[in-house]
Amino acid sequence: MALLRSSFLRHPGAVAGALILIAILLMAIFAGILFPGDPWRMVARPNLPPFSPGHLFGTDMLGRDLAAGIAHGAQVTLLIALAVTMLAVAFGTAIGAVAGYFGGWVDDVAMRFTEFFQTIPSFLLTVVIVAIIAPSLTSIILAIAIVSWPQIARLVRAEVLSLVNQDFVRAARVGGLSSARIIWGHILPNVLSPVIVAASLMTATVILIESGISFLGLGNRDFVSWGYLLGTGRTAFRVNWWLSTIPGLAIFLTVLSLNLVGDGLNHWLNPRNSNRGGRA
Amino acid sequence: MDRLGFLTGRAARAVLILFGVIVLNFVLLRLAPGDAASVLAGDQGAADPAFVAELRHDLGLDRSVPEQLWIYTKSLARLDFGQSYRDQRPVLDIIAERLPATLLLTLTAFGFALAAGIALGSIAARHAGSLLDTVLTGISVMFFAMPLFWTGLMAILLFSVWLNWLPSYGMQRVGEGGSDVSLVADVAVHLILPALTLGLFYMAIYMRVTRASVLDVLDRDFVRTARAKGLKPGLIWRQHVLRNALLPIITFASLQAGQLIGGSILIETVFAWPGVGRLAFDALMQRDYNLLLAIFFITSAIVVVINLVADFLYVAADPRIELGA
Amino acid sequence: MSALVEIDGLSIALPDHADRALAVEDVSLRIDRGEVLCLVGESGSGKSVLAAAIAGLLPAKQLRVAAGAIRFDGRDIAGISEASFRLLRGKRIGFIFQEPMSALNPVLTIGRQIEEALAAHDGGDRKARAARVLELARATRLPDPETIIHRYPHQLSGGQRQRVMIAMAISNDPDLLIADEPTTALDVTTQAEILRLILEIRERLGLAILFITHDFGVVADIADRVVVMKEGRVVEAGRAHDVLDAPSQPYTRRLIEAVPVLHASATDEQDAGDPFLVVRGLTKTYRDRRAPWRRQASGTRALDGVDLTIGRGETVALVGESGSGKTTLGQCVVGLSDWDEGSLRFDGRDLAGTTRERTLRPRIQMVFQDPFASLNPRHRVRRILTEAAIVNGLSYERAEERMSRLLVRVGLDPGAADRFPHAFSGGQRQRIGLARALMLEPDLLVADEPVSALDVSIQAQILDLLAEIKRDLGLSMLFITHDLRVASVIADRIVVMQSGKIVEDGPAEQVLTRPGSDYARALLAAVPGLSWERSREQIRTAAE
Repeated sequence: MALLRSSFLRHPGAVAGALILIAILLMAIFAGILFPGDPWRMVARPNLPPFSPGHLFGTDMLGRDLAAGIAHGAQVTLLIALAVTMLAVAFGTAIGAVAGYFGGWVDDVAMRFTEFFQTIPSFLLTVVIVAIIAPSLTSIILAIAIVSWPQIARLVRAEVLSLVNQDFVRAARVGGLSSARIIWGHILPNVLSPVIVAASLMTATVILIESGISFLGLGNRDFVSWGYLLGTGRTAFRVNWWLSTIPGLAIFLTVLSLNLVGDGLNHWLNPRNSNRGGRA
Repeated sequence: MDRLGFLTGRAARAVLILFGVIVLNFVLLRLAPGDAASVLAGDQGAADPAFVAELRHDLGLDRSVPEQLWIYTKSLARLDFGQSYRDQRPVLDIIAERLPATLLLTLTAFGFALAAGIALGSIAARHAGSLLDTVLTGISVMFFAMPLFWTGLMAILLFSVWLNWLPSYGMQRVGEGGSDVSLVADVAVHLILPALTLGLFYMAIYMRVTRASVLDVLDRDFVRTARAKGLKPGLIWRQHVLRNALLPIITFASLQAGQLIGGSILIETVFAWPGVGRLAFDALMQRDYNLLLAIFFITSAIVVVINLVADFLYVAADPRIELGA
Repeated sequence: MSALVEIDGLSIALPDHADRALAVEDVSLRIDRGEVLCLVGESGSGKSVLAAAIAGLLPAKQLRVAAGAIRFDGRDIAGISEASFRLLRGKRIGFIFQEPMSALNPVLTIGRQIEEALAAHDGGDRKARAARVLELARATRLPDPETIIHRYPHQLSGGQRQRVMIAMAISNDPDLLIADEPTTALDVTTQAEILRLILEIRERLGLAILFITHDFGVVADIADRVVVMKEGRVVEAGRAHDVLDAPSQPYTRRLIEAVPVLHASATDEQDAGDPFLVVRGLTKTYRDRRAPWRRQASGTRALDGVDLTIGRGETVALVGESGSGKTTLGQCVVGLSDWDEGSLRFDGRDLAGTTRERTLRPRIQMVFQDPFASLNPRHRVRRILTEAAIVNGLSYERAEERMSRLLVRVGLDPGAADRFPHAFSGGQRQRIGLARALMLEPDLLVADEPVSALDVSIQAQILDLLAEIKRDLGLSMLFITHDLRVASVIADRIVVMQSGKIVEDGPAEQVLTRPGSDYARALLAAVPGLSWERSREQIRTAAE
């Protein structure tokens, strides 16, 4: 408790973010218990405003409970975000580590490839990919991962480049360790903390991208994410304003807390890079 | 490395990226269910069979894969994107009509985001650790976490639906003649909400980056040297701090250009802004993939050009170009 | 002489969570007009903080004057406003920093940066200022002044940049010039030139100089008076030759004794064993990236036909300035770098560079320069020491046993094995680095500037340890250094490199007393504190 209070005082934003995030995670995990059954069945009168008894967030034009939709939507949104982040971090780290460690033409090729995906309009690319390959959970995850990995690759490459010429890595080479062992045992552990920070910030961006895609109607009808809810609510948003406001708020809160937690992690894991200023 | 070499390298890179986009489009067309002609023609079977047959021939689908890529590359290099099956008009013409509206929107948003982001970011850095810094940083964190389209919807709810201050739909009032001045004023009023919505999100990003960059430069030895020379604080700030702190922003902002244009598809959809983004959305809805891919290619080309301009700016601003390589 | 600066009972507070409360504690000293006062101390002595305080350059958020007065020309400036300090700085107090590269703004021409210093204190109209910039460039002996003032810092050499810093510092004819380790980042020959320039400027302008350094050789060359600091306090103050020749405090005496004596104490002419490492015609060019349309890439020749032999049990010091290729040669020998031409034979076998057989690697090991960068911060000492040995086939138990023995051998507690590198000081880390190299029982040790990042007292300990271990284990050693003093302490033979070539190669005693090449002579002449060396020698012989 004392620990919590002291860390809260030092990083109020990060702790608040972490608490919100935990709440959202719990909501997603227990969605089936909180709102059993299919969230897309009619349960009440259509167009109930928020704070109606039994329906905290109101209902839509078909009488479906928005709170149930939000809870179940959290599962889809978070699942996609986590899957994309893991894919992008794995791929980006691999590319970045190889480019930075081996240098030369390997680095050149890897970096041109990375630059390409970083330059072209990434949101439009995900839209094009999802649209043409047919919207499904897999295509959405792949499409977002394709535009997300470059920043990890660049970060890892830069870190590896500075580590490769550090004397402790040289010492490992002089000691006769293999390249794989050096990358795995000496370089990557030292790259871990900036990657963790970048990954948490990336998860936030992924949620924004996914919600954009779903908002445009490219989501999968069988997996209704927050963005999808928002998009379907939009048609009547001038009247039933809560149908798009509340899912948007859910996205906003999640992205905000991920960013806050990411910043907090950055202070904690890389203190020398961020120990100035009073940023929470 | 000499400057000419640096810029030539960058230009070569730009061409490479455009070729990459062509290859990517080509691959996507082949990955899609059905052959390229039926994809380009919209829903399978929905289009005129003669049109599909002609497309098939134009694309050279009867030839080998490398030949197909070569044919595709040649036609895109000539800016020949073929016909839109919906409108039966050249795709290029359709896009060209819509481009000015998008450029107006994105450039306004970009200008606002850059100016406000740099100004607020440097103010925050200058007063790092103070209450002002906390407030500004808080604002940046908030806007950065809002989904663009949602901010747009909320702005419409607040300023159009409830307060009825600003228009929320389209680029100008329908059927209004009037003088040039009133037309400009009308467009400007329509521009406010979409440009601000788009701009605030990117302002948050530039603010964050500027703040970090300024703080970084403030720690450098040459700032201490400037103080040791007894320079006035304003001069130190302009000549030594900002001048160096803004260098990385050039590259960063140009990289963000692609994202900003990509973001316009959401904003134009929300505000029914008659630009390329809205066109992309319509193409999406109507499965007019030929149009969609052409939009993707042209947008990428614009981004590549912006990056090239930024490289020139960078070379002009930084005597040590090696660092940018 | 009258006092220009009088510091009285000055204390400077560190932030709350620092390892001590005061960076500078109750310091009193004075600087007379026209004198050179050297402020000497090891790292953490507070000497730089004190200098920054005099110019009002303390980082406001971290350090503040807690007590005492700084009187400049009779006026107490310890508490004056930033605006009043601004009028003093650059006008009456000039400042030179250690790192001439990072101390100059990379995006402004150097002429502009000098001119700025003039304009800040009403240096006349534009034309007058331009003329004065040229005059200053000439006065600091910048080559080709008319052109060089239009160049950017990155286009200048380190010595030239430091001249620009000096030009800026003296542009408004200050009364006091504060130089914070101004030659530490420079090569010895450049250092000698800059020191000469500073003395010449003092002569011409009659200004007082506060010179901060850790190097007693430099002190001997330029100081009128010396103040020795330790952990924020003044330990000893006095006339330079009094302090140098007869220090009254034990701390000062220890520091001075730790400075290696240059003259080779007649090497015990041991017969250099049979050739163990034979380098023949080694050539390496670092190529710049070749632009596609250019036939030939430009490049710098790091090694240009190097021949070198090291006998069994012999210690060869490889001496050179930055860019001489000495580090590259060391990297080729340990297999961290490849070469274009030439051969490397070790114990009768041909050795490759980076593609060297794994089984041969343990026989040539390395000790690195930076004790903070050479140990993986995420690994415990145990893993740092044993990993390579186990990879090379030693059993876990044997490795553990060897580690404990070696930790004791290098003067550490065996319990050190369970700690992480950050728990150790620089000198202790260097001991760990040495133990790591010895874990693989090498025959040849390549030591790349192993003591140049250390304070002088630690430096002496590590040098003693190296010499001892080398003798006990019968190791051969290639000792790379820029410092002839250090070389003279450890080497049987001294090899001097310049621009990728070996220009001098002979027994240490011969190279130090009768160098054959011009360059070796110049290097020797540039060693700081040569005159002091003679009086030290006399004192030593008198004592014996």
